[in-house]
Amino acid sequence: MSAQTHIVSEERLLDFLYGELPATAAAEISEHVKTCPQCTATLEGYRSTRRVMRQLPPEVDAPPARVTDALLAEARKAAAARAQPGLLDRVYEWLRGGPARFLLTPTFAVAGALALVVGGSYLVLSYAPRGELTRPAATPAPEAAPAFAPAPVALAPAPAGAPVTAVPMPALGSPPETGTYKPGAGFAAEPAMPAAEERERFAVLNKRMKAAVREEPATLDEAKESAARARSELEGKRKAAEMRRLAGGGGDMAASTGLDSSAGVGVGGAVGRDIGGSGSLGVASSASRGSGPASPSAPSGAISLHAFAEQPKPAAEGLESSKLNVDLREKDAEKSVDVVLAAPPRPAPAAAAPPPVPTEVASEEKKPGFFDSFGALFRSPERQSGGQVARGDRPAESPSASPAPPPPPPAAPADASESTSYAAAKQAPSAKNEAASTRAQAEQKQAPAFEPLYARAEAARRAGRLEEAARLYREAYVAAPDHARAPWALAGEIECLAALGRLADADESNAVLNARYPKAAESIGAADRALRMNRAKARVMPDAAQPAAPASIEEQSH
Amino acid sequence: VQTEQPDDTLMRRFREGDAPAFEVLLKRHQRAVFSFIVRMVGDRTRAEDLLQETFLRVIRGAAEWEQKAKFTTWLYTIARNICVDAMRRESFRKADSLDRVAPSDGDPDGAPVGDAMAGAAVGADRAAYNARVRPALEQALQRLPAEQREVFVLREYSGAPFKEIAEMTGVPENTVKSRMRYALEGLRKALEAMGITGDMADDDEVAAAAVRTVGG
Repeated sequence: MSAQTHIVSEERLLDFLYGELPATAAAEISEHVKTCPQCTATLEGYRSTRRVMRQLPPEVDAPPARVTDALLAEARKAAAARAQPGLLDRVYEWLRGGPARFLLTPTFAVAGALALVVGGSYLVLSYAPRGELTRPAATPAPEAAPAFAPAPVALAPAPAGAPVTAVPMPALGSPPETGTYKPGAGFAAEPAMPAAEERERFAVLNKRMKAAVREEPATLDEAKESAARARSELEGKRKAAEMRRLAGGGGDMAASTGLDSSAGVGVGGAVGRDIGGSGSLGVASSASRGSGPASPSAPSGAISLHAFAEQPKPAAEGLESSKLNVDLREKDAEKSVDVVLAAPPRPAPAAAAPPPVPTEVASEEKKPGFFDSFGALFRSPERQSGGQVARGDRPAESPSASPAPPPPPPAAPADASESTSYAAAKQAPSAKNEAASTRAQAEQKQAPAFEPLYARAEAARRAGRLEEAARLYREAYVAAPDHARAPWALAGEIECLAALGRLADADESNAVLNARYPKAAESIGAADRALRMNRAKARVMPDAAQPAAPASIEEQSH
Repeated sequence: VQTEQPDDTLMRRFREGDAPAFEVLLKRHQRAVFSFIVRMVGDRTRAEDLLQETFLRVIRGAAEWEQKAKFTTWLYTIARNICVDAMRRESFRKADSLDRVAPSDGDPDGAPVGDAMAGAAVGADRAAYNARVRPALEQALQRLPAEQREVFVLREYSGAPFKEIAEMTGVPENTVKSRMRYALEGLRKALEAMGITGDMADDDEVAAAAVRTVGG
């Protein structure tokens, strides 16, 4: 056969040789080979080689048994693991083989990622406390700005020389300190006053508050100046404290840090939001508030824990321990969230204040952190027991050890969020500290009216008397609207109202809070959280928004 | 009953936690895969390790295994990749020259295999023939380039069609056939150099040659 007519390639000959051609094609090749010496020679060469190589057996001797045994043992282990797949494995298997297989395609992966980004951004923007995203959390100046001129309202004036107490406040949206919180049933509240009377008093207070709010700040410049002053003050303290901590005195700071960082809140489920992430803000807020007016010499300036990543946690000299322990049940946090909040040992500020309730958290008072231990290595005994309050140096503040309230601060009223660990920084004279001192003295004038009311509100709240607590918070605010913690008083009132299911009243107070303290990001955020949570609760369980009768609450708590 | 089940069914069962299914698969395929590996790396001890590695990958990859291709295609792909990696990592012992193979088998004169074959005594039986020729064939195979050797072994001994070999090796089918062609050519030359021809390799021809030798 000539080259022109030789149409069979060698690859095709191989197919023919190994029988991989269909019958008709094989017949064609066979006919061709008979008439084509070139293909015949090629094919014969292949066949000859194959004949020789086929002298080798297709398979060698079997591998030794130890290889097989080892493989079987491994297979058994793997099979046992697969027989009980974990949740993730099952989900993965379902995604791979189930109807949602398309979800694993790149297109849907990209779409899913985009949806997550957009959704996450929306959640962050919608759930973050107002002002949180627009101003640094470490700028508490607005709350301390005394630029407003409130209406002179004096309700339940505090006795002169009333002790300044460290009043830790539970997280907003959280139940009272003891007992079991059943989302479906509200808090175990026992109103100290009839609801109608409470509402009436609130109505009066609302009117006064609105009148006060209408009196807007004197001037914008004044407000700005005040904010800048507070900011610089805070920055100076923070730096000084940081330097102390780095120099080995961090133990003081850590010791005086009022909140164990292990505190966490997880509320999700029906609320539709996990506060674990941004929810730490809620804890931080409560910690900030709970730190109480610790240092007698602390100037004003609502140092917030809100940005505890940036600034040292405010001290809580009066706050021995505070921990919010939320047991998030499976699936639905709304169904059963057990909350236990330790009442910190503190001097009883008023007759209404109940004794602190011992809880499991008491044993976790101020666990030594790394800096505690590290700093303790370098601190001299004198320093440890010196002017600064170290851990364990405050037995007198324990109600059990010293029921009588401590003497009032000699120089300046305590501030809720001021840390005693800052005292060393304050001892060094500086312009900033002097300014802070001036501010603190100015605020001291309002403290006698504010502090007792606030303390009573806290006590009532801890005791579960939310109606009374809300009223006292309101009175505290009205008595001293310029006080650094006045926004917190409002926020506390909002929280109590929200927990009682009085969402309309809470909204009203929230409006006041927003209008009066537009820059009190932490307070506003905390109030917002309380409102959101209770609204969600009301949506999911309409009955939960109503305060339950004590009897039923008691039943449920059991 | 289990041994009659197809590979895919057994693999699916193993993926769901049925260890005996894997045992069936192992017994069904380990010897063939082991043969492939031995012929690829030319070292039985090393091949045992590689066989173990191959089936370990099967065990660990069972969760990801999908019935997109034949189980054997997947299995030989794993084995082939492991062999390629092993050959890249290590410098395997090259086959000695055929002139040195014969003495190692006990022939003191060191005659080439072909000569020994041609001069096989009247009483030469099949076992003696195999004992002499098989090492030579193994060595001829080892002299092939790896890419030709794997194609030849897979097609000739494992029985994989060219299309599946293309899947296993990740090259086009025509490339596989080209490599097969080169492998056959290379083997023919190597065998001719050893004095082994297809006629001699054939049982009948060998017998006839033996008869001629005796009669001559």
